[in-house]
Amino acid sequence: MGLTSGAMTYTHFLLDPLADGELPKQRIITALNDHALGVNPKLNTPELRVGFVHVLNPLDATFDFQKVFYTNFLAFSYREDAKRIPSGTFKILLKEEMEKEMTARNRQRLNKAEKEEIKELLRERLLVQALPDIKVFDVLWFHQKGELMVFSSSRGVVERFRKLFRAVFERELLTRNHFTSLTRLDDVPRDIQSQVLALSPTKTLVPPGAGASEQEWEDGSGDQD
Amino acid sequence: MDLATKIERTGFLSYEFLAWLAARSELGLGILADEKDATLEVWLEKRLVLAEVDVPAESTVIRSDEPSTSFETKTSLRLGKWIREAQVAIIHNDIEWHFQVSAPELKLRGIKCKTEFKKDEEGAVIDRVASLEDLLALWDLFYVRFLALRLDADTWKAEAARIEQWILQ
Repeated sequence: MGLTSGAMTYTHFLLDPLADGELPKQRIITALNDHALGVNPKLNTPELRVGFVHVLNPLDATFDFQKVFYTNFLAFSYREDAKRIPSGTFKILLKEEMEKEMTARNRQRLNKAEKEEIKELLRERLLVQALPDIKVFDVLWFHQKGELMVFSSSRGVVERFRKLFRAVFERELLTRNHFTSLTRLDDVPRDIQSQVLALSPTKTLVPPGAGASEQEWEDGSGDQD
Repeated sequence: MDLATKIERTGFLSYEFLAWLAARSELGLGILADEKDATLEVWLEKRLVLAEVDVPAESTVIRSDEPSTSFETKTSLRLGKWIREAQVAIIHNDIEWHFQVSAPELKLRGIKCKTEFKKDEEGAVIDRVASLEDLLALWDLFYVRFLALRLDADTWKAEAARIEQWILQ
């Protein structure tokens, strides 16, 4: 969520400026449909299913131009369905399964491979029964500007989204920050990044160790001020 | 130098930017170069987090309606702490935004816009994105203004003296 209601918190990305131009609109729609939630088995595990859904309806996993393209941006959502078996429950049920197996085989103990097999079968059985915890994160994409926001600040979610985005669109997402944003600002010198790199902290404002080395701080080398 | 090193090496700029923003708004000096638009107001509100760069865990949290005027804020700055997180309020063209910003990445979060959005879901998305774009454009303008001052050694010397004076006030 984030785009439709509430306060907006997001992770802001720039699309790799070295990549060759913007993606054709039809390719985006096809890619979203190909990676709609649950469609691509390669991206899914019994514990976690990820994919794209409609921004206004997390249960709608079909895309067309009308649903995705707005005035000057694209909007869709990234959905994660995570299933988890509570560890306490799993332990108790596993013990019961093992006891049943030993009784069936008329043995006092099971070997490691047998134990692992029982564990895996139980895990699979319980995961089928478990309800997924569904989480939805909106995505805002300024297609022509080459900027994208995913409405989450969770490192795990953002990294999984980034991985999916890379797999689907073959584009790297670069975090927008105080340095990477310099190339996207209007009315700044062309070599702004080099100029900024030549600066040192202002002695009266920033304590030692902030960015430039402590040595530079102490002797003031490279300081323009 | 790889990108990660460049980002780390220039992190101090974000702290200077936040100090500049706090001082400028507090001293009533204006943020933009040519403020024809008298409706622009920027101030820090409610909560400031100050910390030393090497010991970010030992932070000072200032909770106050006007944290940039607080004695504790100035004392922390004098002791070598810097503004690491700030709650910012902006009014521009009668639209009011409130959000948090954190250094060094200058990440914005918890953005709230006090305006009426359309009631239908699709209209609301368009309105909210337009409002977000306005805010980001304005925020980038602040940063550009700061950079213009920062990159000119003489101008920055005078500007830094004003910020220092604000800290010592």
